[in-house]
Order: sequence, then structure tokens, then C-alpha cells
Amino acid sequence: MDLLANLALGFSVAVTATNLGLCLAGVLIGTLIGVLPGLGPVATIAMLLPLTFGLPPTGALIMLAGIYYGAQYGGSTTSILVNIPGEASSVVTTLDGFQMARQGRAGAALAIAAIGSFFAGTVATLLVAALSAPLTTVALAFGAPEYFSLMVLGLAFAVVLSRGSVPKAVATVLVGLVLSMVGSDLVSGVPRMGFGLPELADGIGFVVIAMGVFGFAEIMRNLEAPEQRGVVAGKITGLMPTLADLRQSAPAIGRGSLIGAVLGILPGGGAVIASFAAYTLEKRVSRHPERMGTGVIEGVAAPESANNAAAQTSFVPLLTLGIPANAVMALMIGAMTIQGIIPGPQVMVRQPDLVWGLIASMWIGNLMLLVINLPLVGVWVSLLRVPYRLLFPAIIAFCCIGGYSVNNSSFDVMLTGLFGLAGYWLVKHDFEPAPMLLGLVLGPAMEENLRRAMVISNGDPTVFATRPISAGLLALTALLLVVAILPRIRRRREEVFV
Amino acid sequence: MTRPRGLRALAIRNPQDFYGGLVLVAFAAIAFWATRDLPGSRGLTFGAGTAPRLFAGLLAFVGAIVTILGVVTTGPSVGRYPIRGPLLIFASVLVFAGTVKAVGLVVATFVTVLVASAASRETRWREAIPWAAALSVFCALLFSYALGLPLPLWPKL
Amino acid sequence: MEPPACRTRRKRRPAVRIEGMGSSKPTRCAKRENDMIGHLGRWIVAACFAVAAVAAQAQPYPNQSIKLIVPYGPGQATDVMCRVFAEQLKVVLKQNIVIENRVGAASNLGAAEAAKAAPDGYTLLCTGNATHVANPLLYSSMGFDPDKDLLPITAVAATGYVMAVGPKLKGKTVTEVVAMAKSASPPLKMGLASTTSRVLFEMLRQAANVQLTNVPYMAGNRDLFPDLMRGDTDMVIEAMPSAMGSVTGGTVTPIAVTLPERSPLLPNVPTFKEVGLDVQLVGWNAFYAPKGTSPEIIATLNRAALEALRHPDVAKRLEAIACVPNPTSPEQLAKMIADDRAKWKPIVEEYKLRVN
Repeated sequence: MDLLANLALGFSVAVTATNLGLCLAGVLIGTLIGVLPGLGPVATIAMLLPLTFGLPPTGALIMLAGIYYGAQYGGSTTSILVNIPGEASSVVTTLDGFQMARQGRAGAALAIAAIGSFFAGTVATLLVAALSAPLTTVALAFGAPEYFSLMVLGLAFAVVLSRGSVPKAVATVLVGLVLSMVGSDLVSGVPRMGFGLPELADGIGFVVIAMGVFGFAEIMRNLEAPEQRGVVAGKITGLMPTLADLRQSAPAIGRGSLIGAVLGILPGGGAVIASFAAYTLEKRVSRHPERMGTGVIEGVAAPESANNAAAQTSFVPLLTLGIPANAVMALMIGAMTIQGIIPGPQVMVRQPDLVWGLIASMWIGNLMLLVINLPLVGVWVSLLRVPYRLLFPAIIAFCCIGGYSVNNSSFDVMLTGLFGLAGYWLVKHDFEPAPMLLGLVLGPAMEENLRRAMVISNGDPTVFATRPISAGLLALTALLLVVAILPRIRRRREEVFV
Repeated sequence: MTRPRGLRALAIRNPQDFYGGLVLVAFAAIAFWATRDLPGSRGLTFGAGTAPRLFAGLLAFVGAIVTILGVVTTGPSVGRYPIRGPLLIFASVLVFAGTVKAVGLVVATFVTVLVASAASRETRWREAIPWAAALSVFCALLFSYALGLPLPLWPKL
Repeated sequence: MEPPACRTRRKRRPAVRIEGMGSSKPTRCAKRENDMIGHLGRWIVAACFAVAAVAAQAQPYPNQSIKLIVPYGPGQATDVMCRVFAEQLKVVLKQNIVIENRVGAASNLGAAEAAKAAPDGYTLLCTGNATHVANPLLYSSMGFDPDKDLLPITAVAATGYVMAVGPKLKGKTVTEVVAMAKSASPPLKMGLASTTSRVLFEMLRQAANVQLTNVPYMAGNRDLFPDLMRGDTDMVIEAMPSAMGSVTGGTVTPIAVTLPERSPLLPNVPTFKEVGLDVQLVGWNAFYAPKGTSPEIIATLNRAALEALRHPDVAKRLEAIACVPNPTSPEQLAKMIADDRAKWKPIVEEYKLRVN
């Protein structure tokens, strides 16, 4: 069988001492930068890229890939422990993950994130190995109208997963979209909504807003009500998930892995939407949807599985078409180019050892991450035993340094502070920040695809309804909103007429 | 910022939403104003200003709905607005932003941690000062040496 | 404690510092089989000492490591062009060259930094033609004057742009496509992912006297070729380094290149000149020093750069990314800049392709 032969070739490449060492180095670096707020895989890989000049091509890609999915693991750690999502795809993890930490169940949350990620990584690696070619057609089936509709659906997920009122969730999504417009026009390059500040010419970074509205705002809120903090040494219960936890999470991990594996193939926002979609699905199938967001373990297991599965399958368009699914993949293309490999459909034929070696190394890397992360759970949880009066200034210092390091910009740090105040205000008025971050991340791509869809269709807006995939996605959006909103409107009416 | 109790408070039974919605409308208005110089759409071709105005317009609309819901529904009050904590946190961030380039990572971290510590009433200074020193050394080791970020470490002489 | 050399160099990213050592000893690190982390640490320490040792010497230029600013992200075509060149230049000058990627403001940021650096020959610039051809026409302020603040040394590498058509378009030659475009309603669509492509698009429209619709993509956009394969667009014009993977894949057909002569990488694809259209444009990158650098240093660098560019390895590595070495004198480079800008100017002005 082809698959077995290919995997055998892959493992024979990936299991050499050099490649194992590089894989380990990659996942360790990835975990470290994922844990530190502000530092992300994009910046790190950009920094380390020149180093890979001197490495053999396969080894170089294995290490860079390790950094990428290692950072996915690390990023969930800060989401759970201190409510700061390192990446857009771990925003959803904060919802239940941080609540679990407040209830003294950080250990279970971290462990289930690692276990779910490992399972998802295994499923996704197998999918990549077995179905790369057919999966590629999925990526190719998505043009501008389809992407636009997919993003509309993604935003609908964000509205549905919020706990509060629907208009307020829609409003926060729109705030994110408006903020995402700051920067430069993608077609003409005109600076827009930057108030003449050159620092805003490239837009407001995700890290700036995520740290502000999640991290700083959370600290501000905690200071005002020390008794609600909950992260008290005495309350920390068990480091590992219980059998009941595992039973509860298993289906969520399965569903999350599938959603993530499928959406991850789609270049542009696939991984982010996957985590929101997985959480929304859990909320829909849950027997107690009202408990989602209060610290239930499925709320961590599903999005963490989804984002890790997506991280793996996002290699599909890179390996089969030479098309980068996200900024990290674009850097991987850079790494390949530096090595004299022109990414494209021929890579798989001409350099099967590179492609299959990379695929095999992903599974090995995921295994390494599981082995590294489970013992680390204890270390992370013990950090929470540090009294809050000492912990929070440390978080602020880390965030300031991390935020500064993204662009070496004091302006960014200042902006983070401002978004901290804004996030505090949002909390005070019961607006949830997660939908806003999704709007922020998807905004520019939404605009670009909307504009391009209009050009491609010669200005005919019905293109969104006449292309079947796009029509299907929009229909799903409508259905989702109706199903989710009707009960809340009914509830709302009861409130109005009490 | 306590709202006056009385007739007005009776009228606005859901102040969280009412004031929240109002601020969103104001934010949308500012965003709309910021796009005033951008070209709009020509026929069906989008201009640089089309999407921002579209999103800002929608936000104003939804913000207005939230505001109206704030009048017709009942909800929790906004609660206290403690000034000290948030402002000191904000100040500590500003201190870092303002000083790191001039005095370097070590000093900036030290001062930032101290200002942030002042935000909490639980802070014990005998503990906070050595903690700040320890953190600044640790951050210098971690970010500058181990990770090699291009940060100035010490004050420029 | 920190070795003194590290402290004086602390602003530099050590990842780049590592590169200095790593690339000079590629065989060693390729064979290295154990713990990478320890290895990394040793590299950093070794690099610091190397820098310290070099700084201690006092000899004729160049007597310390040179900082080469590249205003493109690592791995981008222009960055790779500069790196391949720097690699060999390092050998010729017998001096370490540290590449610093300074991205931002369409390359203006990094170029401005180089323009403002001390003119001692230890901070140099390697950049694409955008900063000298397109940006002066597009931007009302760039933070520096490309003609006055930077001294040309030599052009480095050159590449072309390729026009390709998708599977759904019947025409598979420029002549056929032009004929189809004349009668097509609505107009045929062309995907464009950069300002240079946009200028080529206007050149093609004028030369062939046809109506085409431009479909803009963000630079380096991943959807350019998938959209072409699906038939959402009919054709594209894209720089060869980023197009090669797709145009040799079989689904899309390259039909013309903008080079003066056929590219050895696409020997069966005619030039626009061959098919009778005046659409000619070469993408190049070049090597500059800040204003005020002494003529002796410029001459030394030109001599060394030319020697480096004539090395067969450089040609081979550039060919892998669809580029050719392009050694020139400083005067020739200045003329290239002026010629290209004259070619761009009417198009930029007519279509108001202005940024700020």
C-alpha cells in the first residue's frame, strides 16, 4: 500500500538522530515562545530562519514545523493560566480554560489540552498522509466568494458561542471588524483610519489587543474584587484529569479534531475559525449549553483539539500546491526557497523524502510535546500558588516586554495599555471580548475576499448565492443564527415583560 | 461614577447595555469620521473607504439596538468603577513604554513592577521591592540572553 | 557574565548572529547529531567571541563585520537574492556580513535606516528596485531621498515577470489571448499581486490596445494561482521567483516573459518582444552605501561584489530561484534606476497609482 510505504519512508527520514534532535529543539523553542506572551511563532521563525541556512532542507523544515505546532501547545498554557491567548486560535480556550484555572482545575485543563492536542495531531497527521491529494481539491474549491461566506459563518460562530445578549455579541464582532480596518488599504495602499500616526500604518496587531483586553483587563478586574479571584493555593485540586473528565472530553476531542482537520486545509483563517466552530458545536450538542463558559472541560478539549489538528493540516496546501495557509507557512516557503526548493505541486514527486519526512516528524513532534507537557503541567500549576499580589506585576512585566518585542515598538506597549482599559470597560458592561478578536483577525481577509468576489463576478452580488459552496455556507450561517437566537429572544421577551 | 438614583435611574433599567450601546455608537461615529478622506466605491467597485464605512455603519446600527434594549429591558447595574487599580496598571504599562528605550530593560522592568504593585492593596512593599529586582534580572536573562531579543538592557550613557 | 562584545552588539538579533557562524560552518552543523539547544548556545557564545576578536583588529577596510540591511522578510525572493550574494561577498572580502531584515513601509523603512547610517562602509543596503524605481513615484515621502542619500555600488541579480493563463481560457499564446480579449465582454480578468504587476498590466493594455479587468491580490497572495487554476481569473502576471512553482506544474500555462531574452528556466516561453508587444521589465535588486561613503570604499565594494557575482556557485543558486547575476558599475546602476523610473512614470501618473 502506498500510504504504508510513504509513511515508512517518512519515518526512516524523521527518526535519524539529527532530525529527531531538530524536531525536539523545534518543539522546545515553540513551547517556550508559545508560553511567553507576545512572542509568537511568526516572529520566532522569522528570526531563526537564517539559522536554517546551514541545515539540510528536511531538518530545517522539521525544526520550523516543530516551532509552529509547539507554539500551539504553549499558547494554550497562557490562555488557561492567565487568560492571555497567545494566538487567535487559542482565544476560545480562555473561555472555559481560565474559568477552570480559577476553580483550581488548571491542571486538568492543561492536561486535557495536551492530550486532546496529541490525539488531534495524530488524526490530522494520518489524514495528511492518507488524503493529501484529495484534500487539496477542497482547498482549490474555495475562491473569494467561498472564503467570504466561510468568514461570515465564522463570525456567526463567535456570536453563537457568546453567553450574553445577541446584539451585544454582534456589536463586539463589529468593533473587531472596525479595528481591523485600521492600517493601509490593501488595493491602493492608502493609509486609513490611522489618525496620521505612522505606527498605525500596518494596523493594530493581534497581540496588542489580545494582551490588553484579555490579560490587562483581567488583572484590573481581579484587583477590584480579590475575593472572586479563586486562584488560591488551597483550592488547587488534582493535577491530572479524572476518569469522568476524560469520558466527558473524549467525544469533544474527536469532534474538535475532525472540524480542525477539515478547516485547517483552507488557507486563511481556517485554524481560527476551526477553534470557534468546535466550541460552538460543543455548545450545541451539550446537554447543558448554559454551563459552557463556566469552566467545563469540553470547552477546553474541543477548541484545543481543533486548533492543533488545523495546525497540522494547514501543511496540506503548502506541500501539495506550494500555497501558504498562513504567515508561518509563508515563512516555511521562504525556508524552502532559501534551500533552493521551489514549493509547488512537484515537491511531492521530486522530493518525497522531504515531504514524508516532515509529515512523519509532525507525529513524532506531537508525541514529544505530550511527553514534555504532561510533566510541565505540575510546574505551571505551581506558578498559580504564587500569591496574586506577586503574580500580577510579573504578568504585566512579561506582557510589556513581549508586546514591545513584536515590533520593537513602545507605541505598541502603550496601545496595549489603552486596550487594557477598553477591555476593562467591556467587562464592566458585560461585553465579551472573544467575538471582537475574531472580527479583528478575519476583518482584512473578509474585505479582500468581498472586494475580489465582486470583481470576479463582474459586480454581481448574487455570486454568493449562486456558487454552491458559498450558498451552503451562508445557509448554514442563517440556520445557526436562527437556532441559536430564537430561544434567547424568547428568554429576552420574558425578561422584558416581567 | 455612581448614577443618580431617581427618575432617570428608573427609566434606564439596564444601564450596562444602555451606556455600553451609547459608547459603541460614539465609537462608530469616530470611526466613520476617520474615514472621511477615503475614496468610496465607484459603481460596484469598492474603494478604500467602503468596507470601513460599512462596518462602522453596521456598528452604529447595532450599537443603537443595544442602547434601545438598555431602555426596555432590566439588567444589572454597571457597578462600582474603582479608579485606582486600573489606572495604576495602565500607568505601569505607560512607564514601561516610555522608559524602556532610554533606561533599558532592567530598570524599566523594575519600575514597572513597582508601579503595578501599587495597584493592589494587598502589596507588601518589603516583599515587592526585592521581587521587582528579581523579576528584572530574570527578564533580562530570559528575554535578552536566552531568547536574544534585541532589547536595550542598560541605560544609555 | 556577558562577554563585552555581546554588550556592544546587543541591539542585534542573535539569531542573525548565529547565522554568521552557522553559515560559515555548514558542514559542521549539518553533521551535528546531538542536542541542538546546547549547540545553539555554543554558537551564540562562539559568535560573540568571533565578533570581539574581529573588532579588536585595526586593519584597512573592511576590518570588522559589515551589517547588510535587507528591507524584506527572510525567505522572500529579494531576501534570498541578497543572501546568496552576501554569502559569496563574505568570502571575497574575508569579512563577516550580518544580514538584518528590516521590513516595513514597502521597504522604505529599512532603506531609510541604511541611508541614515554612518558612511563608514560597515552598514550597507541590499534591496529590490521598489525603493528606487516605484516608491519615489508612489510615495510623497519615503523618509529619505533614494537618489541623494544612497550611493549605488552595483546591481546584484535580475529576474523577469511571467504571464500565465488558466486552464479555462482557450487562448494559449499571447496573440490568441489578445484576440480573445478584444472581443470579450465582460473583459477578461488578470490577477495582480504587486505594484510592478499592476504597471505591467497597464503596459500590456496599452501595447495590445485591449480592455482587461484587474483583480488585485495582496502582495505574495496565496490565492493568486488557485484562483487562476479554478478559472476565477483568466490570467496573471507575476514575478518569476514566486511563479515558477505554479507555472511549471502543468495546470497553468506560461505564455510570455517580460525579459529582453528568453529565460533559460522557461526556454519554450517567448518574450513579449518576440510576439510584437512592448512589455519589457526586469526586476532587479542592488547594493548601496550611505551618502558620504568614501569613493575608495565604494570602489573596493564594487570590485568585491563583481567578483562574488561572477562566481559559478552564485549563478547556480540564483538560477534555482529564477534569477541571474547582474553585475554592473555604479554608473550603470544609476542609469538603470533612471531608465526604469522613466518607464514607470507615465503609467503611475496616468492611473494615479499614488500611495500618499
